[in-house]
Amino acid sequence: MLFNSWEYLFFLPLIFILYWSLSNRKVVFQNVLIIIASYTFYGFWDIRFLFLILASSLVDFYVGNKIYSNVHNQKKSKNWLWVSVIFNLGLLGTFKYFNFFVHSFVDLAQGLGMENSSYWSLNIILPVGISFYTFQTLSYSLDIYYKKLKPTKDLIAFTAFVSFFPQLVAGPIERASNLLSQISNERKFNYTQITDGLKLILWGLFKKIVIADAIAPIVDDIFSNYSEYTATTLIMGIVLFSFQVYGDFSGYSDIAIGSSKLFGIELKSNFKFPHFSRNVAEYWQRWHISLSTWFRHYLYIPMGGSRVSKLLSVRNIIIIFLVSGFWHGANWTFIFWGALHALFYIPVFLMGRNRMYSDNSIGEKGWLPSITEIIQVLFTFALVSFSRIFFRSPTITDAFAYLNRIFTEMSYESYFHPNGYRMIDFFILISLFTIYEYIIRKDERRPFKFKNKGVKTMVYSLMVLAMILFYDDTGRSFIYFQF
Amino acid sequence: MKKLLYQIAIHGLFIFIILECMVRVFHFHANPPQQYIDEYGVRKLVPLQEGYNVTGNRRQHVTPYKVNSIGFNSIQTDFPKEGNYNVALIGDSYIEGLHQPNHNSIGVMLASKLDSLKVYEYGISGYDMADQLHFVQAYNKELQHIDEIILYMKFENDFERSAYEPLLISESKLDKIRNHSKLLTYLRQLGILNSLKSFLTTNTKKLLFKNEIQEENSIAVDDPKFSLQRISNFKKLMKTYNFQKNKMTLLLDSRFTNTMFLDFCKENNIKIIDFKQPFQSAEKETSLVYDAHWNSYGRELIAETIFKHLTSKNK
Repeated sequence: MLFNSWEYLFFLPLIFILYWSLSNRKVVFQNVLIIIASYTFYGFWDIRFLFLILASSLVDFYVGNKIYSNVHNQKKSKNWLWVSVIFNLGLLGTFKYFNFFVHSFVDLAQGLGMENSSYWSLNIILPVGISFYTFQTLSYSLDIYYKKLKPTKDLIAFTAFVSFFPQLVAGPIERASNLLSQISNERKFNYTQITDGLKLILWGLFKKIVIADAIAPIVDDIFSNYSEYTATTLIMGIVLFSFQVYGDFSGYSDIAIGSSKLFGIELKSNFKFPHFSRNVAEYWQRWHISLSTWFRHYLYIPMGGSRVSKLLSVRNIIIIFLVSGFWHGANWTFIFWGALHALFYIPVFLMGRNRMYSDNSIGEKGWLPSITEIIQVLFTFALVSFSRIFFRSPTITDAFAYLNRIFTEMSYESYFHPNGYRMIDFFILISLFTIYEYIIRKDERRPFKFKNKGVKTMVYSLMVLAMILFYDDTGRSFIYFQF
Repeated sequence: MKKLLYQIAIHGLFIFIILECMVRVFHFHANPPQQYIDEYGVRKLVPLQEGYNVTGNRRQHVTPYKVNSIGFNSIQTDFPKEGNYNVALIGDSYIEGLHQPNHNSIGVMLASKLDSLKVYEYGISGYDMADQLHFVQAYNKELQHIDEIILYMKFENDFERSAYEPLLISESKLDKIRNHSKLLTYLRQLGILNSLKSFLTTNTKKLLFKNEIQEENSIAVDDPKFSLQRISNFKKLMKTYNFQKNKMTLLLDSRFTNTMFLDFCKENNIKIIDFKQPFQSAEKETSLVYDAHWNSYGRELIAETIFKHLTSKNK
């Protein structure tokens, strides 16, 4: 079920009413409802893969308790952790990476001259959201192993934690210390929290429908037919894709966080206006925060993080970005994308500027950003957008060919979309969107902070109008579902 | 909970009112001309209406229209008179031409090719062959000075009936109420309301009549029996309305016309004007961007094709 579908429009209020009508009973009833709703929500894609979520829940519930019960026996505890790691990464490896490894191995063998090597691959469908929920359950076992968390004895609460529908298929990836603790405890009907949730849903839908989906056909056309376009169009394609992927994924996260608020549950922020980052390090503190936090906690810090020598730290950074790239998809394009980000990040790290902007945002001192900040933001945006050529291209060959054309076909051309889209509409839209995001840049969870009720209603109306003006009946899915 | 529902209702109402005002002020909606059934039982536009045809979410294509005193969107205000070579162009929305300024219609383009040529356009959205032939018969007296009648047809749409019955698209009371709101009209025109409606009806049907839906889906749309049925309907219409083979010509695109029908026309000496060739070798797009109808270039090609047919016929 998509957040931007009619199904969800009916599904969400129905579950909301049922959920709060159970509020005077024990919390277990609400948790059972969450499980039913979440499995129904997921079942709209493919009912067959529900068993994977269930298996992941049962295995990590059991393993978590085993790790904890062997807390004084380090070896046993570690062995149980390995069970969780192998199971979860095994699921990912089988469903997401199996064919990639087979094809890569065959390519390598053929490269070494073994031309006639026969091989087989499996026709495996990638279950939606597998990268997200496996990482979430894995974090549970890891937290118990690192003694940051006590395992729950409540299987229903744990199953609800793993399958909680607002964040099941594309995050934010939650740690049990935040989400499970809320699910295990009683939730109170909080009017402010719920209205904040509704506002976030509206803002997320705006980003998805108006920004991401409206731009998508243009991006699709440019990336599919890049060999017919010159540099100006290709650069426009990259910039538009940056807005598309941001609108799509941050829109999804906002709807997820907003929907979750309706049930009295707070999820962590996943985006904090990443396009206003002043360097790549700041960008990674603002983009897909739940994933970068996951990698920092469970990979970077255990490897020594930045507390080791500079050389080892650089090694750790490279590993983190390569793994992050690989997490996104079983394709060399994502690995290359990760490598590029490592390349952008390392100089910032070596200059000691990687934590420089962690507690402040652009335009702190006044209404407008300084000239230096504008240059920094534009430079960072250019780097990040450049890397997205690899993120968006279907193959590494296409990505290099796209890049090659930018440098070899350096002439201006007017762009005409085959469907005749009026491009000025999109330029105005993106400009207004960027200005609005700048205005609200200090609080990603409250996009409509207007004191005047009239202004507030007018802004809501404009959001809805924009959704109508850019409505497209193709019902696009979310980009990050493929990961 | 009560407070929440109250606030949602209040905000919803205010948002609706603001959007209604915006849609009206910026005229995002189209106001298609109203139709009626005249004293001959012919479906026409209410005479002397004026308005704007708008397509695209963001007013990407806006055209004014003006219905003449006879009830068609055309610059010709009278029925044909003696002294010229008069051509009647009859058809559906492609001939009605709400998507184009009526001074730039196929008829005007065709008439501009020869001084003695007068073209009269009688197009109404949704006109099928029964509508067209009934119109010609009902207005037989008024059309007595017409030398050539060109009937625009699409095989898959225009032969579903074997007899004419005056039909106006009926609107329920709910539709009529909805039409008072320009916002809802706009949403309907964009397909948003229909999408919601079909979501609701499909799911209700799925729940209630699962087997019947499967049966409906199992019917093959390209079954030859449908083509034969359409040809049979045409035969009946020809007989009922005394199809004048010497005067009447079918305007069609043979790429989208069943070959059995084309063979039938050939065997029965029914003249056709086929615009397949010019459209296939067209240098530019022949349809509008936000509208499936012919653009200026497409209309010019049609006019050119008809003109070639007329000149070859009257050599």
